[in-house]
Amino acid sequence: MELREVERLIEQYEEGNTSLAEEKKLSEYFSTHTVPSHLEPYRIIFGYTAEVKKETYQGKKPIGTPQKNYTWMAIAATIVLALGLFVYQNNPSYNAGGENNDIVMTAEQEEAYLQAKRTLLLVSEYMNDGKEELVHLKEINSANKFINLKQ
Amino acid sequence: MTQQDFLSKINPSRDKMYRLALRLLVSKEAAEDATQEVMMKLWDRKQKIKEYANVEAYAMTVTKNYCLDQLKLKYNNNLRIVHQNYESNSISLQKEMEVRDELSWVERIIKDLPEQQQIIFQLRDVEQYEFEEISEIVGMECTAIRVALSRARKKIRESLTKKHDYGVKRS
Repeated sequence: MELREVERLIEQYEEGNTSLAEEKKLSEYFSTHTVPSHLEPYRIIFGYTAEVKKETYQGKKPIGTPQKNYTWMAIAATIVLALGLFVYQNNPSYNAGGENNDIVMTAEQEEAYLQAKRTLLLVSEYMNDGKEELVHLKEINSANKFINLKQ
Repeated sequence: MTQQDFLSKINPSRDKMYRLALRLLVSKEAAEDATQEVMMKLWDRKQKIKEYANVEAYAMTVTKNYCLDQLKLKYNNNLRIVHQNYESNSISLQKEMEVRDELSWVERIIKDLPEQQQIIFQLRDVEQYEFEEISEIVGMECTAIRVALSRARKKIRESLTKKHDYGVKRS
C-alpha cells in the first residue's frame, strides 16, 4: 500500500468511515512498515489494539450443575455404606476382637492410673481447703448492703 | 439447555467479554470477577438465551451494563490504578520496554475518555465488530456510534501526538 493511500485511509479512519477490511489493511501496514513521524501515533494505536486483543480470560470456569453429580455421589455412598454394614455383620471376628480391648491393662498402666488418681485427689483436697477461706468474702457483700443503703 | 450447550455458546465470546470488562474496570481481578458474574447471570437466563439470534451481542450487552453498574456503584473507585501488565515476548527487552511504555500511554489516554467512547472504541478497534453489531450491543444509532468513534480516535491520536512532541522537545 502506498503512503498516499495510507494517508487517505487514515483520514477516513478518523472520521469513523472506514470499513473493517480497510482497518485491517491499516493495521497490517503499521505492523510491517516503518512509518514517517506524522503517522507514528497511528502506529502506536494499531499496535495497541492488536496487543490488547491478545488478552484472554484466565479465570476459573464458572457455573456448575451439581445436582447430577450429587445423585451419583449419593448412590455411590449408599452402596459403600450397605456393603460396609453387610461385611461387618457377616464377619463376627470384628465383634469379638473389639469388646475386651479397652479394659485390658498392663500392670504398669494400672500403676500409672492409680498414681494419677491419687495426685488428682490431693489437688482437689487442697483446693477445697483453700476455698473454705473464701467464705469470708460474703462479709464484703453484707457490708456493701449498708453502704448502698446510705447512698 | 444443558451446561455443555450453554458453554459452547458462550465460550467463544468469553474473551471478548473479559476484554470489555478490562477496558471499563480497573484491574484484571475486577474484570475476571465481572466476567464470572456475567456468565452466572447468563446461565440464570439460559431460557431466554435460546430465543436470541445473536447470543454474543446479548452477552456483550449484559457485560457492558454490568460493568457500568459497577462503576456507578463506585465499587472500584478506591482503586483507580491503570493496569499495564502486558505480556509481549519475542522482542528484546529494550524494545519491549518501549512498547510497554507506548501501550500504557494509550491505556491511560483511553481511560480518560467518556465511558461510552471507551466501549465503542473497544468494540470496533479491538474486537472489530460491524457497526450494526455495536448498535445492537450499546443500543445506539449507527451514525451516533460513528461520531463517538471518530471523537475517540481523534482524541487518542491528539493526545499521542502531544506526548510525542513533548518527548522530542525534552530530549
